[in-house]
Amino acid sequence: MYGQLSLRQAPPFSVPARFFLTAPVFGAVAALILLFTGEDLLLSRWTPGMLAITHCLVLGFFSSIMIGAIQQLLPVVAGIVIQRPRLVATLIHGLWLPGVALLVYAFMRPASMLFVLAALLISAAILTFVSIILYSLHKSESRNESVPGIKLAVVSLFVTLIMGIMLALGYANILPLWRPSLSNLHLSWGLIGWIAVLIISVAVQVVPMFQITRSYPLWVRQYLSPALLALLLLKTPLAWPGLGVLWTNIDLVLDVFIAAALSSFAVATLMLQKQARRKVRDSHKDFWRLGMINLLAVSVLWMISVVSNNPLFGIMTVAVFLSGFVMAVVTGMLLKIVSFLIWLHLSAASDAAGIVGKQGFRVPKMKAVISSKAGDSLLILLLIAELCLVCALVFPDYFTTLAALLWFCQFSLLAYIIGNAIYRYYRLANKIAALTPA
Amino acid sequence: MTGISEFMTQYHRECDEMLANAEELVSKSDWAKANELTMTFNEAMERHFGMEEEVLFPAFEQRSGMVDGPTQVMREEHEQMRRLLTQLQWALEQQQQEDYLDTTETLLIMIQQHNMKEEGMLYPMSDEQLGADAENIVEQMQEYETQ
Repeated sequence: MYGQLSLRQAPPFSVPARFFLTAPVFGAVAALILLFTGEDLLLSRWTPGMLAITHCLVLGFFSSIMIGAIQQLLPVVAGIVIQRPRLVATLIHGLWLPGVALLVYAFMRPASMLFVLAALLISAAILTFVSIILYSLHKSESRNESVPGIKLAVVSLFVTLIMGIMLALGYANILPLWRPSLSNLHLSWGLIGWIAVLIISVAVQVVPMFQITRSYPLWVRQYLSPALLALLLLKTPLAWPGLGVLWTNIDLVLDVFIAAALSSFAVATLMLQKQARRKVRDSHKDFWRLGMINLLAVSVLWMISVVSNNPLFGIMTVAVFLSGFVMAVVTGMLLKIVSFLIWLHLSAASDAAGIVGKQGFRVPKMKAVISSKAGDSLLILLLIAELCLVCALVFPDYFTTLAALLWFCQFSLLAYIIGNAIYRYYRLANKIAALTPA
Repeated sequence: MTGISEFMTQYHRECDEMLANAEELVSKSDWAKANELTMTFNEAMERHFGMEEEVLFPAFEQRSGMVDGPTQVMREEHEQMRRLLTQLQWALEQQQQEDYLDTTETLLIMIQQHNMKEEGMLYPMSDEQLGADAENIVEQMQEYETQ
């Protein structure tokens, strides 16, 4: 009955590590694009530079980390092990990296072939990922409350992909380019269905776990993610261009519900954090707080943009969503995950090698892998970079260069911290292997 | 009637709180209280491990026939946690604040991901597999606790 169940700890470290390592590089590239394109980029959603950096961030940075993390989480959350994990990771990553890079390049230097090739590579990567994850979760006997939400998020990724392919083919002049209706839908499914629902599903486990808080209320644990998906489904037919005012208004009402749902998650999280039993100062807690405050700001900006019809607020909503909410949560999680995984794998390796406590060999614990100072520095950089970016949207002439530079510093620092940690892992792993009695 | 999941999950939460409090005490350099609480925490963890290793896991293995599976992984993780508990003790004795807090951080996450697997999979499976005997097992574990 439970033949498939495996609680084996984790896939090999290289499986998530490769995704975590390449992610900040894309972030730095996004910053460089902003730096060298300048303030014209920020003028509208549709400038080549804007499309390039949004996809650089959403696909190259955020989705890379999430795809890597999900492959890591599966045994813990669902009791399922992916067969041949290194091969699977190599396949996905090997298609993903060039696909995303090509897409970003294609936005900057449009050419049909580039869009088609990028679409093919990204599709292959995502289809591989989605099918393996959904199949594994389907087989899972786990009662873990994150599982339904993760399934929904992964399905949303697939839906976002389909729309993305259609848009890419539109840019390649193979299909008509259904802008803004399909773009808006693509944005909604991607940001809310994939990213926000995944964050909510993971938060349900991780916030009580890492911060020792009570559990989220039932409506968050069981109903919030399905509700968001239902709202997205209802919105989807309403994106059809040329519908009457009634349908457009209904669409607005759905947006209000979505914003309310996201806000209530933010409030629920902040309230849990306020009563957390774990009192020790930790940048991780601050990353979550910052993320939630940003999420509240997103809802406010979104409603202003709906009411005022000013495109600036629309862009600002997405900017705060990505560079504030998602960036804070993902960075906070990444630092903990990487430092824990490195300890875990080295600990297991030194056990297996029978050299625990011998020859003065000490497996570094989490803070020795990534220091508290590193987390604090990233937190501050994130905050100033975000503030600068928001200013750059309002006063592009004055703040664009500074925002780009700060972003570049932020991603470079993250790349250094993660890269250094991973490098030390492999050095120590080799040392353990060398110390292993034959 | 308390099922296995309910009983053991409650135990998890109590240990979580002890660890969080001990961590806070050390961060404030209140070594005397930290000493006491860490000892209590250590004992609670050992009792919990014992309840699982001596009572719950054997019952589950016998009923399900899965000897090399999930319970084996849990036993291995207990060992990893025991090693961290030893390091915690050492840091406490030496009054090494940084080392202690580093150890609580790592121990916390280790415990949490371990608990996730137990609460998400092993305990519900045990409740199912053991059925009517689950109550019996809980009683046996409670007896073990008071030994």
